[in-house]
Amino acid sequence: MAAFFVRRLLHTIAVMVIAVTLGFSLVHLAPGDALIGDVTQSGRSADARERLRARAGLDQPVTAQYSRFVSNALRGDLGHSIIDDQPVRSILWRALRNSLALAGAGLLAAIALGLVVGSAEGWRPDLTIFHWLGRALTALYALPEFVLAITLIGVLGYGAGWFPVGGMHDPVTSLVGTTSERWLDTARHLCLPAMTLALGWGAAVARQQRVATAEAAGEDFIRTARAKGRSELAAMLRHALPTTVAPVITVIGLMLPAMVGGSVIVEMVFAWPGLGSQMVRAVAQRDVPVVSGAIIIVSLLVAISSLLIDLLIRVADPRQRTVRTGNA
Amino acid sequence: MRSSTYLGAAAALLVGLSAFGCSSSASDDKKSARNSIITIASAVDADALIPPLVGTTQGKQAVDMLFDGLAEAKTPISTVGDAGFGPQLASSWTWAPDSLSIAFSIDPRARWHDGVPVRANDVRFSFALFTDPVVASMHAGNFAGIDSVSVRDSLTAVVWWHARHPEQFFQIAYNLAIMPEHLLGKVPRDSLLRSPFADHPVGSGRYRFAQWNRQHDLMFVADTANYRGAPGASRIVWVVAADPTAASLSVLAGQADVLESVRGDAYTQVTKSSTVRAVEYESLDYAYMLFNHRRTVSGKPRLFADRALRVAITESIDRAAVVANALDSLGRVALGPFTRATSGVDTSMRQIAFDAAAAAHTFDSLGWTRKSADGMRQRDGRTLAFNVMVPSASATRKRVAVLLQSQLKSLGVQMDVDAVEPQVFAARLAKGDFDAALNAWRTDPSPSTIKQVWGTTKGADIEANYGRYSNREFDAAIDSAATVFDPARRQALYRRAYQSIVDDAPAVWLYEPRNFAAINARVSPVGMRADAWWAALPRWTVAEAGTR
Repeated sequence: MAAFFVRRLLHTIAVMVIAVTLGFSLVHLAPGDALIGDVTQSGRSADARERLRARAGLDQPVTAQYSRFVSNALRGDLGHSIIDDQPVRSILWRALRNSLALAGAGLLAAIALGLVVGSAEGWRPDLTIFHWLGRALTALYALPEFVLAITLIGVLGYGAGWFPVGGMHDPVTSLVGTTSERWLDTARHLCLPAMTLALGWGAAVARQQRVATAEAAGEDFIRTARAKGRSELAAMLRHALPTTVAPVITVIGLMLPAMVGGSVIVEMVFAWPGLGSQMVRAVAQRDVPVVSGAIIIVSLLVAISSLLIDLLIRVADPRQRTVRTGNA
Repeated sequence: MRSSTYLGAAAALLVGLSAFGCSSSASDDKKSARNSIITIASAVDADALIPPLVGTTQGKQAVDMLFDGLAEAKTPISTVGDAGFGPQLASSWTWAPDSLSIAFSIDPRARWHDGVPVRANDVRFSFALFTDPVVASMHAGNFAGIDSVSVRDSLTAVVWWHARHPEQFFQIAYNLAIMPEHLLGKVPRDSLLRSPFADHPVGSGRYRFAQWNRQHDLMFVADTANYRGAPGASRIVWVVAADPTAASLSVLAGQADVLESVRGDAYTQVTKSSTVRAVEYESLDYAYMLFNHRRTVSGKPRLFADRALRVAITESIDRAAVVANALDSLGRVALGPFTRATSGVDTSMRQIAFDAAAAAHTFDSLGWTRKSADGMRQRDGRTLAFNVMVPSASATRKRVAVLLQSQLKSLGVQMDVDAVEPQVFAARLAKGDFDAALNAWRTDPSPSTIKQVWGTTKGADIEANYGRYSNREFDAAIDSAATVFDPARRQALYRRAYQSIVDDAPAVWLYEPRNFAAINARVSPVGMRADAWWAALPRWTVAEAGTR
């Protein structure tokens, strides 16, 4: 186990070094400058721009900027944004918190939806309703995220008026509301973006779950459970389900970092102030410290989630435990 | 039975999600409280809340609510003398006999939002902050020619100029936002944005800061004890939408009250709405195709330095048709590097008209003849061809570029469209790395600032003269106009300058967008100025029984 951890740690460090170096280099190679300003109105004088460039360290060679960034990052200091001089750490923490809330809600809903629909479809492929439910979910998976998002906005937001169509909270409620009102308000704002993620990603879980459940349904231990007089529901939930979760956990593990760092479109459409939209804005503004910091966070998330998934699979799948015990 | 179990679970999930939506409507009291709030939808967040560091329109809107100036500009704005201004932080002012200084008497009732009285040393401090090179404010240039600010007594600040000029009063009253020295005085000038003040600013305006969730919302509340009286709405909230479309939808859906500009489909939707109306206000924006006067194009160094060629290209373009196609009724043909709202502009001035025959004749006379098989004009084996750079984020300018391309092609001129990301557009424009560019510009209320964009520059600092244009006649007329006090002579000089630059065609003047704000019917706007539609926002009122 210790060797496994050391190997994964080294792997994680290598991935992060490569990702940060690439990200840093690419943003520097891109034409444009964070301090160029607006070309549609009067701006800073050349002297003032140079002064700000020097203050941000942009007048130094890229290699010097990179080594300074890395040495500061190793001490936990990600620097300050070139655009608004805010600490990168607090900018990213704010955005990450929001992304985690969205990804968490989307992931939970996707798991619930995928497990229910996939298990039902895999266990009883003869029932038409499950079959069509599965197809419908696959169709939603095939839709581009922005189409799904806009459809939900049109139907449940502007149409039915059930949910707010953008933002993370109502500013007035967040200022004068009670704690429960603020929570409920954020939950309402979370509904449509989380639903967009869940409907798309739920299909991936359902597909995996359907295949795994169908395989498990024909296994000897299920026949044994039935022979012992277990009900169908109990046979599925207590005997089949534990053996089907390993591939599903792998899929979920792959989803989490993508949901946090990659739900850019959903965050943009719903004006959700998360990490994805923050990264897009930082890249567009050539805000190198924010981009580099975000890359560190996302690559760290990927590494941690894949490590957790490996551990979860070992814990969750009884067959893995058996194999491990047998080998020992 | 078992299938219904699964279905039930799925249904429970959906019902659970829906319940959030249905169960959380605010109480009637809160709805009523919300009726006195003005919510402004915006696709961009404010960049800063410290006036010298503000660079975006959204930031300017916010700081104008928080911080007062010495005097308040009236509508429409006048930049000459002090007749166009009323009291604000200064209750009165006195000109020195030689007009080289103005003594401003601070209103003794004025208080910062933390209760500390506003004093003359705050004026001196604010001027120092704006002009300190360490702060590197993009507004520092607005104070050129001002020598200093001194404090005569605790309630009298005196502003001194090196030389008198007609816009002295405008220069200080319009540009200087007064900030509290007791809160900012000890903050290092190179890290103002890192100070607590940057997140919780304290001003003396009719609204005080309440909260700022960056990239999400910004809220101010009425300063009910303000020395100038309580404002009309109890709160002002800026809500950041995903993009302009989302912002317009939020206004149409009643979730926001104001959007500063609607175009295209959004404008049509607003005109059909019973709860939202389109309110027009004057524009200081214009768009143009800028020629790079230093660039080697079609193998010829400084091709666009040739006035005859520039005029021929201008004559090749049916600007009225371009504007009608690209903007329909939401734009007008631009007259020059100014707009119809610019003070003293003569809208009947001579223009280079669309004249394809004259253009063809000029091209021929310059040696650019249609000899090639593809019908393109050539000289010395080189095709008359150039790239026009367009920011990819501007749908209107991309549409205009395609129309220009088509019109020029019919006269044998090859124009290739190069749509680039906004940052790349800005960088290449500043470096002069373009043949031609479709740019837009927001003019200042002061007509003299036209020099920043079209005046001859010295050395490496080109200011905003991206095309490296030089016209000595124009420079001289503008310089003279900026110092002349006689209104008739001043007007004549500006007219001469404008006519000179229009005749010289350093760019093809394309369009002035017409500004339409989408405003909920429950909100009554007043005093929407071309330079700042929000200037009188504290005087806007909100109907008690609203549609929201």
